[in-house]
Amino acid sequence: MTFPQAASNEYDARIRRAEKLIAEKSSASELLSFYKRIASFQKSFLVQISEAAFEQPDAQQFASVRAGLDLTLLLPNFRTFLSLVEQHAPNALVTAARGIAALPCDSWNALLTSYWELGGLFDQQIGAFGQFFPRAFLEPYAAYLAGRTAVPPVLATPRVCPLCAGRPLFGVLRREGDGGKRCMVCSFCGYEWEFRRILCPTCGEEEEKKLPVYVAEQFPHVRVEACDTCKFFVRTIDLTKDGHALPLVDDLAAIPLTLWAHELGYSRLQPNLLGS
Amino acid sequence: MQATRRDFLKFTTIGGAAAAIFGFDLEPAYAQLRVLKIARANETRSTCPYCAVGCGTIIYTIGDRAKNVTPQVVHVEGDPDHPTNRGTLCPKGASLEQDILNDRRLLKPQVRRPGGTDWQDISWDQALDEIAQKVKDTRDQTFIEKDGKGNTVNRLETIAWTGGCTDTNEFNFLVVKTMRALGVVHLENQARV
Repeated sequence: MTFPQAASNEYDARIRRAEKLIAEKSSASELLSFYKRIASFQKSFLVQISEAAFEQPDAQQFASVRAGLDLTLLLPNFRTFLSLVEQHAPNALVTAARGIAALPCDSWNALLTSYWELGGLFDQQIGAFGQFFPRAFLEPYAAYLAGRTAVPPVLATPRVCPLCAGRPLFGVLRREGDGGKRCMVCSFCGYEWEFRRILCPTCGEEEEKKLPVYVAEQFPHVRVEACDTCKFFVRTIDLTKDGHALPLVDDLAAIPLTLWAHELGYSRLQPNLLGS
Repeated sequence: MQATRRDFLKFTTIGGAAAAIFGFDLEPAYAQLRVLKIARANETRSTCPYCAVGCGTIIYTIGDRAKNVTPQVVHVEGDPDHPTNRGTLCPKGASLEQDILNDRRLLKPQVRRPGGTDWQDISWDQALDEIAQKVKDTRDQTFIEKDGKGNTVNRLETIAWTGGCTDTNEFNFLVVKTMRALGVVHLENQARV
């Protein structure tokens, strides 16, 4: 299977999962309906850029994800993306999209370039809107580059992505033996790397009593893995309990757990695309 | 550019609530939040006590840390990060939860008298007294101070000790000291893990 086909299948699966969760989780139906639109755009965008890149005779391996930004390939699609947001997003995002659409091309350049440099590192400081547009737009491209970047040897458990130094967005538990192996998924490029089960990804706390795991009856496969030392939490999708879950989509749907964790005084290490 | 922890916290909180800033209606999410039933669990690393392989385990304990609540073990699984077993467990290891929680577990001493067919409940005091008396009588009657060649051996061959696989290092240390003091030479404590 070629890369464009595999990527296309992945996005189709996300859209199907979002449709299923829209029917099941009324608390996140509006978010997921909008995400479906974003995912459809990302799918066609990724197929387009990967085909264009494969046509180039010097399709290369990258030393680092962040070294590979090619705005000449990407910028022609940015207006299409802004139009999509204007058509389907809630009012606040529509207003922001119109504001960005009215800016000159140089400003788009600056917006995308600054996110490319800081995304996943300090994007809390970029602000919600300044983060959403470049993140949703560049996400497929970052994932594409991650697939073409050599993975460095990993000797310890890194708390940031080995490919781009981005912070983890969420965790995933995959079956290993009779238990579940935890991996972290990068908030910038989507790369997944192995991570120890009992270790805080924010501050490195290892003491078991300070690392509670919260699970709600209504979301049995979604774990809120908190740290009582730094007061941050990371959400982990437990695929040993629900093998049909798609971590990225199920993470968006678990917004009540984010609100609950905030009430308890925990902050999310890295917000997801829609801030849920 | 380095963010201070205070900045980081501030902006993270904003990021976490970004769905509301974007204009999404969070009322349904807040409605579900009010009916969430959430359990707190702790995961504790441990080692399976049964055999010499020494597989890693993760023990799940629930409880909200309230002073009047006893934490309850609810699940035991293989530790996927452990280099020996990488998450796998044999049937004995997989049933470790029942080693901790089991309604068939004996909570008081029992005795089956010579010639008897049934087990009888006895008190701890009676059990300890009877064991001590029998150990003393046996030792007094069969202790070997010197062997056939006149060498001093100070051994007791009529009592043996077999330890269980869940005995701790500290317990086994005391067992060895006690048994050696009595002269017991047939001693097995399965101290392998």
